[in-house]
Amino acid sequence: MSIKKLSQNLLFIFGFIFLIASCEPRYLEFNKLNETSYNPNIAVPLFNARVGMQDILARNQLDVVQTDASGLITLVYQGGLIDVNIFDLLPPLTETMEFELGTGFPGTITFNQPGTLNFSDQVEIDYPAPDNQLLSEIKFKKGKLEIKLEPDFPGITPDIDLSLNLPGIEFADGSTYSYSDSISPSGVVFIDVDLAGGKIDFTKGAAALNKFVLDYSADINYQAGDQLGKNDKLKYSFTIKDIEFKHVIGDFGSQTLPITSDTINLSIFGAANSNGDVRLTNPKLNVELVNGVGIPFRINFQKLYSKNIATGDTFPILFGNFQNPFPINSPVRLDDSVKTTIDINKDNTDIIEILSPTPKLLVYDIEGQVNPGPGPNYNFITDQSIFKVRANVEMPMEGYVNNFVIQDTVEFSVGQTLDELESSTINVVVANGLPINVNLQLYLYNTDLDQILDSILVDDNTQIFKSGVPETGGKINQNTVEENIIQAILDQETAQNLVDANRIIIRAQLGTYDAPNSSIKLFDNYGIGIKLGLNLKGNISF
Amino acid sequence: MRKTILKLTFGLGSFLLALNLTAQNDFTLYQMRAIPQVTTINPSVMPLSKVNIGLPGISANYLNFGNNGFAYSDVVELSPNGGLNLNIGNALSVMNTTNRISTYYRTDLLSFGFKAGNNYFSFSATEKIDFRFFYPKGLIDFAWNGNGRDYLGQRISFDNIGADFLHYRQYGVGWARRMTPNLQIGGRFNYLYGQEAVYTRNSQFGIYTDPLDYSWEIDAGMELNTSGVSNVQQTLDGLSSGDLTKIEDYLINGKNTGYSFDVGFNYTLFDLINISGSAVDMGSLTWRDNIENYTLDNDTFVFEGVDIFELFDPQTSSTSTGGIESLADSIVGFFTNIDTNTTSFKTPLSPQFYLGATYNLTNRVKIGVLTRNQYIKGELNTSLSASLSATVGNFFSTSVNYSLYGRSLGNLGIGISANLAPIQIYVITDNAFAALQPYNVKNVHLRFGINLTFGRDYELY
Repeated sequence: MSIKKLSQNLLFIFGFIFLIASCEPRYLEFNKLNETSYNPNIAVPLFNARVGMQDILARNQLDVVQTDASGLITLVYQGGLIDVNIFDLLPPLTETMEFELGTGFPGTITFNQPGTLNFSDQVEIDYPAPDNQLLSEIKFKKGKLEIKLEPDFPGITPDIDLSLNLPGIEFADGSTYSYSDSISPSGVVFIDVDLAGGKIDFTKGAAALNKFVLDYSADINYQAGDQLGKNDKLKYSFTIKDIEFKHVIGDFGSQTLPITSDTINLSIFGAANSNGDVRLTNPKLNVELVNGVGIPFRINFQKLYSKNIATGDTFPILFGNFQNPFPINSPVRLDDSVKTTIDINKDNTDIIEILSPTPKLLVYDIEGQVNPGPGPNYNFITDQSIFKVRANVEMPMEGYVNNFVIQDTVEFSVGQTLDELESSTINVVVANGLPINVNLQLYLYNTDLDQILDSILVDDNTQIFKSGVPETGGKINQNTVEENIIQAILDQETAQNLVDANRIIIRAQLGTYDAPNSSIKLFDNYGIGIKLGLNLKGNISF
Repeated sequence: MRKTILKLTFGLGSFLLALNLTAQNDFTLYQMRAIPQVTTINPSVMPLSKVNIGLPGISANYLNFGNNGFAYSDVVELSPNGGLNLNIGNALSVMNTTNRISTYYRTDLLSFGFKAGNNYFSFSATEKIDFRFFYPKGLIDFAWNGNGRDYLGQRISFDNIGADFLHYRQYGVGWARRMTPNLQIGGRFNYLYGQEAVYTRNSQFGIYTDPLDYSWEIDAGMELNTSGVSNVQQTLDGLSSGDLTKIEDYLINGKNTGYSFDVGFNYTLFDLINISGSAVDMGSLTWRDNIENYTLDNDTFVFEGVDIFELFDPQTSSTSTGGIESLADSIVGFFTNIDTNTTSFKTPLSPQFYLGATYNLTNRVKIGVLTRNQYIKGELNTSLSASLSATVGNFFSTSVNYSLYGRSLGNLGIGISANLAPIQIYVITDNAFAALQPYNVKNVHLRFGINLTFGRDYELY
């Protein structure tokens, strides 16, 4: 090929390229851009959780979950701590004790010369307590004894020489009270005795209890012409006032004491309906009493029953082997206290039955019987004495659940159209380490139409959370739990129903592994792994 | 013959499209010895004039813009209904795994050269700006198609995303010598003075989407070097305040220096065939001024959605935005691990290797082929060109060529130089279609300037 020919060929190539490379201004006419369809598939993880058993139970009730050494989970619902006012058991402590000293003469005597008559004796005055209550000792932090002397000798001129000894009044230094003075033969004399740190001993008389001993001597002086009538007298009154006691000892008699009436809300069953079969195989009611009062008690369950709030049905407990009333311990020394725990369990009652089906409240009413046995009784109450009561419902998570249904309706609004959503896929990946099967369904509901529009999951019987399988020994090995995958596909029809719905009804049906043939236990290392991902296919035009 | 050339052209073109071709070419200039700037791409070449002076600021201006990912017409198509269609899918189909938008600008501040016997000496001071933005195909694909279809169970790669910006000045001294009547060799030593740099040394980003639960495993690692970025503001402040010391510091007192070498040869066979080759821009710059480096060690985090407890907890009242917040928190936490330092760093130039041959049809007309290879961050970019060049008298020279580069098949290069007395005006482009058909091209290339040339003898061409 000649050089000229080659040059011609090259020029032809370049010329051809120029021809096909003609400028095209239409490329810049953006106003003529046709509608473009944008259809991305966006896959996003929505939820992920490895939920431990404790987390599940502790949600909203953090204070009720306890575990033992083996990891077994127990729900402990505590009733309120009741502080019983035991000071009502005491007899009145501010009473007045009286004694009247008369002349014993049958008529009026006129003295013709000066002289003295002496009246002296030791008398025991009863403390005016109720019939069956006897005091032995009152020790005071503060208080006083008001002594009122009322001599009534109108025919006598000189003063009376009076001396008193009260052996029951004992001061902090161990001394007893005595009084000696001359008093007018007519009028009123008040004497205040400070009892702070001291005590009144009501056992100084011949009788063991409830006696206030007065040892007196009165010299009645007279002049010639003075008279002593048959009604002349000297009246003694002893009143305990302004008292703050340290302790009181005595026999407070048989009494009835209302202790507590309470209701425990077993909120674990809060969202359940009554259709399920729930059986906890080892529930307990523990009543713990701390008694700082030196009084023997017996407590009596006046009422003990469970109540289903949904139906109003009540289920009274049947005390089988449980001794009701139940004696409780009392301290034998002042400033001491003892605790008594009452266990109401499956062995002594039918508590298993009253917690099934689906109870929500446990109601009890406890009354105390004071000094239930025959007397005499040695009782004491100090200013620090307590009497506290607390009831706990313990529910170890062992048992079975069959067809237990939880249903809730929540408000829901998409808030916009879903025209730009062509379809979506929801993948739920579950690794269920719990011995619980769960069937779940979500219903789209419209309140205006009063109609369920659609359901999200394919089949009501879809076992969303398939139970883990317990190994030998009853525990589920959390490391070998298999993942289950559930897929829900939302097409455009379902998407429209999502828009139209204003409520979602969540309905879950639970059953434990092999229920009701086998019982399971829930351990704290159990958990469930849930991953939920969403794959959206858009249909956007612009 | 014509069919043979077409077959050869398209066959070779198909092959080269499979390679990663690039811009910043100078195919046309390489074949135009009448223009003194030819020595910048082959220092063994002696221009066709004895004395050459480049006028400050106007003697050599070079502009190159390229996007090797796709052309405008790959995205916007003409519709039969007279409108336009947006076709992102088509653009994706022509993209590489990593694509590059690049802009190169050069201007000679001063240049001159002269012949002395069998020698030619030259000097030039050139301001150079290189900008490259690397975008991965995965990023566009993720934005357009999402991760929920083809990418389930696969990692979407955003690797190599980043940008480079280098602004430096080159002072070059060249010497070419005719060793024998048939052999010329030449070399050039360049002193480099850096002004600003932003350099993505490496970057690795990716998202793996689990095909079952759709959880995301996000991995990231990056090293970004910068120098002198804050100098720009200081210099602007100096300009506004008249503080010449700041401007002086910026222009000449910096510590960012480097060196590069250019070498070349020409060998003539039988007075008809000329074989030439060159290697230019072999060197690097060390940046020491106002360094701010950012390093994120390769790390991974997994986003598995929001905590289901939080979502349904009425106290926290989380909603679906909780997921976004959770992801945002994770990402923010991830990037708080970025370390910063002020250690000096080095940026290599992008060396170019030319190898060509021409055949003299006459003593004024020749045809030639030329291949060019350039390393950009260790990646070889290959180009190929076929040319026809000619001179007329001692005042006009021209060259046209057809080139394959930048993953673009049809690039027409045209160069013209004309003298009016010693004043030489030249205009060169390696892609004339950029003006004629800008929607279909991936590269825009333009070189132009005015030189003073004395002692021209185009017969030697």
